[in-house]
Amino acid sequence: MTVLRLRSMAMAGAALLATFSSLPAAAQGDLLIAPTRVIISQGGSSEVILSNIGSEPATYRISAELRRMTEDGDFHEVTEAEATPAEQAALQMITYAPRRINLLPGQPQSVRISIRPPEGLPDGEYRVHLNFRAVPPALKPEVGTDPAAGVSIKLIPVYGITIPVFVRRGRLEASATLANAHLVTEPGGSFVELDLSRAGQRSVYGEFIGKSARGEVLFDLRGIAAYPEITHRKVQIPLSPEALVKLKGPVKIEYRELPENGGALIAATAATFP
Amino acid sequence: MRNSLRLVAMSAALAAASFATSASAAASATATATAEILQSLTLTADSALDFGQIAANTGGTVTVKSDGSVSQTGGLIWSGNKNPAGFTVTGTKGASVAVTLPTVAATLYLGGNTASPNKMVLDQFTATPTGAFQLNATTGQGHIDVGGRLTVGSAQAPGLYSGTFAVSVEYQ
Repeated sequence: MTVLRLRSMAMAGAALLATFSSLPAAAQGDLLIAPTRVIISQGGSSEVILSNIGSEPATYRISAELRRMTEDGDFHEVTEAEATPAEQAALQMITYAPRRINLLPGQPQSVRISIRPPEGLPDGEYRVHLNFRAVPPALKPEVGTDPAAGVSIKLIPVYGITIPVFVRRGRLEASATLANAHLVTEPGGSFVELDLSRAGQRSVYGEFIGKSARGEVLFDLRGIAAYPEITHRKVQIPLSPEALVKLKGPVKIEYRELPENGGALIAATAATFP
Repeated sequence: MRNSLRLVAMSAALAAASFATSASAAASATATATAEILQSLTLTADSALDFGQIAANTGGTVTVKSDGSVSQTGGLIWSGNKNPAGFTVTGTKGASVAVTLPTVAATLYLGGNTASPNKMVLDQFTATPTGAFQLNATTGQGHIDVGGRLTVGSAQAPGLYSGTFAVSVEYQ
């Protein structure tokens, strides 16, 4: 009994502290998404698992958006008004459900993605980016705020994960070449920069592995794509301090499919570092 | 009933426990289950973007940058804790992910009432790291900090202002 009372007093104390701090670390809306990219070929469907890994129940919203890759490898958002016919076709043919999900902590649910290609759709790769994010709880007026305390701020981050969904129609080929690998040293760190050129009707995707003359792996940057809207992009491969020390003499740089996709060699280049 | 069972590899212990439960339940119901390990990505919020306490006075701006540096302009008086928002990303080891920030300003309303004429603008969002970055080769984790600039009006009405801003992590 005494223990219980002590505990409830301690909890009251904690609640009081939370009211005074401008915002408790918001664990509402933490999420897990798997897989992190989806490719649908020739009809068919797929699914993505969304799980609430936060400590509170949360409502998540799923939306389809358009992105274009820049030659720096960054994304920029494309509004529907700016969309090309192929981007509009992608938005129209890729459907998903549900679009809004309430999940308890630890609860997963799958989101089904299906495609309805229109008649006469040209062969090619079509893509949307699915965004999963928590809907913030309704903002409610806070009580007990002392006006004499001045202006205080409560900011609720609406944070989410965006993954690409590809639809491939027809027999699509793609190839890539690498060139101009060189070392760049900046105050924030060192990286190997190189040019990735892409040809063909679809994207390429894989990892960059750098190996010394003795076959030692110096770096491995996974999950690098070049999308169909670009034929060229720069790739920057961050180097750990240990990798920077070892990056001397001839280095072979390979661009390979990820091991789970077969690990085939897409392109390679050689560079010599001073 | 699908005859392929999808398992998710992840590091978050809580999620792992719940998935393990549902996975084993599904496995006992399906004799011919095959397992496919999916790449996963998680995003968790560690700390809020904190602008502390402000006495508006003649107004001005307060900036908390994602690198933790703070600055102010105008006649306002600024005190208390000032911290950027922090997020943890966990995904494929050594993978490249990108952070996207709002391109338009966020609006904060007095008492969270969007009909209130008393409001403030949050803009000039910054992230550390910016753009694409690599998740740790051993742990598969990355940390993102996000900051911004708040504009406070002259004689801004006192009280608690609240609003939302969007942060997204993208896989290629």
